[in-house]
Amino acid sequence: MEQIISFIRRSKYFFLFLALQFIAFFLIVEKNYYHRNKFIHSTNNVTGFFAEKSNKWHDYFQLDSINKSLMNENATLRNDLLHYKNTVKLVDKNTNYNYFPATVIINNYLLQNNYITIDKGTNDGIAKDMAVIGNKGIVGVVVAVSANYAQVMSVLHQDFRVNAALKKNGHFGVLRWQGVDYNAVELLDIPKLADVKVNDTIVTGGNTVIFPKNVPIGIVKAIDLKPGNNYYNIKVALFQDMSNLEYVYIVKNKDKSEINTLLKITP
Amino acid sequence: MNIDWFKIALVAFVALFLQLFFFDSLYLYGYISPMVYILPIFIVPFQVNKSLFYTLSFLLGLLVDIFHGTGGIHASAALLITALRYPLFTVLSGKDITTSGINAIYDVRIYILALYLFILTFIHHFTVFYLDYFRLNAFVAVLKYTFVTLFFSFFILFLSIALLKRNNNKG
Repeated sequence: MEQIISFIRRSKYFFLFLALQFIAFFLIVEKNYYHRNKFIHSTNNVTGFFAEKSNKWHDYFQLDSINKSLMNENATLRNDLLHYKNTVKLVDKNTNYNYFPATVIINNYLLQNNYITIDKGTNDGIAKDMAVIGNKGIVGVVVAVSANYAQVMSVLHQDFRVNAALKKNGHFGVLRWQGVDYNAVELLDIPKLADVKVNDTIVTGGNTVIFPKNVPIGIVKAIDLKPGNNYYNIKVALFQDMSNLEYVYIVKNKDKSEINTLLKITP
Repeated sequence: MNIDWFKIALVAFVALFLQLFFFDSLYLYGYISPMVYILPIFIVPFQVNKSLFYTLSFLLGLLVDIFHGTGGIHASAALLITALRYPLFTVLSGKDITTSGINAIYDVRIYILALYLFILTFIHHFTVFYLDYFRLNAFVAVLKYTFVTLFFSFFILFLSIALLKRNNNKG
């Protein structure tokens, strides 16, 4: 007995080490569900405040490139506007969506499960499960909101899935990220009979209540078909440069609750 | 034998501040953010109560984790190098850390200091990246990230400690 006590006494630092490591591992595992965890969270008002300050400082040095990207976006929007004015549209499918602008204050893209923090929250009408898109393509989905900030699950998260389709023929599959390279995602479940070529454009499909249809995602980089497999495994390069996000739009589907209620009624 | 707590606290504060508000948004060549917040772990004297020091290192890492949203990855890595620095320093310098005075880190030869710093920073970076990827098949990617980040972190950490050493020997 004395020996045991003296052993514990001698290795008390080691036990402290183990205990603290245990806490750290618990937090790492818990991280995957951490939008439920209010404490370790960057929508937390304290860290959110500091991150916002630091981001303002950082933004200042990027004003030039931000201006350029906004100008480019304006030009594209003007072109689209002109196009829509000239073509009479009887039914506009996208009128069900509201767009809110937001600033990215924390952007992670080098981790394997990335979250983005933006400076809009419930006070600005943001809610969970709203889509987030950048000026070039999709960015992610809101997973947690506080009063002034919201946490976005990035496309670059292992649990992120979205219904994506080939723009030219509408064949759809599931888009997900495999990790490691922050510019490459995977499109799965495109049937073998679909006509896919390198450099084809990938957009969001219609089978989702979160994203509007036809939001650009990326371009086909490589096509892989394993022998005996009926579905392609397609490598997609994202349009949106995830390493350089400053401003994003949050998209609210006005009919979402109606659709969800309907889906609940029908078995 | 007075430990200069004020200096250590100041170094910790400056390192952490620079980490969170400068290096984290640096992204050299698109993906390198040096990790320098571990600087205070190297300069705390070996005589400091271990329980206190372990806990402080853990909290230092945890603070970085809270800002990065990474759970406990940095806390775990910081704690690991805190524990490993005792045996590593003994082996590298050949000195008995219990009798070598509070400035042991400043008294060793420069190449021993560099090696000591390099090994611990490598272990820290490798742990951080590995815990993040958490997969066996990403070994090469983890090593790549570790070494490119290590290059910059080591440079900054070594310069800082060399400056502190000069300052210490003067005073």
